[in-house]
Amino acid sequence: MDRDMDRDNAGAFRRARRRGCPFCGDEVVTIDYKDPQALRYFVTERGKIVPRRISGVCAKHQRELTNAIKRARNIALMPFTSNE
Amino acid sequence: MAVFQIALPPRQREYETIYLMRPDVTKESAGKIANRIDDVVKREGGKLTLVETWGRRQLSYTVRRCKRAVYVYFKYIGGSGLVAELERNLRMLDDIIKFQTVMINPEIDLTEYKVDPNAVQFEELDLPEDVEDDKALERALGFIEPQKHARNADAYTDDDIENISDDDIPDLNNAKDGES
Repeated sequence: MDRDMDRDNAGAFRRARRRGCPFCGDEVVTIDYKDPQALRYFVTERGKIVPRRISGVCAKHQRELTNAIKRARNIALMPFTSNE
Repeated sequence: MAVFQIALPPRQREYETIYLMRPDVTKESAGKIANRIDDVVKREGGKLTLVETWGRRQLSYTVRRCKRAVYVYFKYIGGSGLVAELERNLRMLDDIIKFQTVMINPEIDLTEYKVDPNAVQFEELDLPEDVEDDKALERALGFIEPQKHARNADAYTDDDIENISDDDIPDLNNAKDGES
């Protein structure tokens, strides 16, 4: 049990989740700066943009994501940084 | 060359603007702002295509000492001069604390564009009075546990993104087929 928890804490669980780009396979999922709930998955708890080497997003969609997150931040839909 | 440029009709583009009004904005003031926007768009030869009032929302950070703001979103067709004029007007209004314009379509075919006349009316603002959080002082002083935002269980922490070395990351481009 402990060992399982350790493994989860070490990031094994997270790594198993990393697959190809979530936007390439599914054309229904769009990147929109007006939908901060959808973008929240691609920022850390502190509000930093998650690098694509971790989220697995392709370069093209990472560019769009970055743009959308920055626009959402600018209009106060997402935080620039958060200490909570 | 110059003659040729003058002969071309001005390029029509589609833009969207979000503006934020103070949370305590009155119905009359919001109505005046809406009328002004309507006038500017018409005067500059543009056309409103969609107007939405998102209501009073919590801001992610404080803007001009406001923690909440009333969001209004609208889409329109016009040239770049219209955006400049619109933003100049928005900047002058005291009740507007923030705005942002984004171009969504660089070239638009007006013959194929259909607009629902009901969708371009600015709604009359009818919000309940903005109640200040009466426990804010107690919370700031630490007498009450701060309210935690619903945390995204999947969100990465900063440690995650800094501690994972590149060796831990599989090469997605080459290992795409192998992964389930």
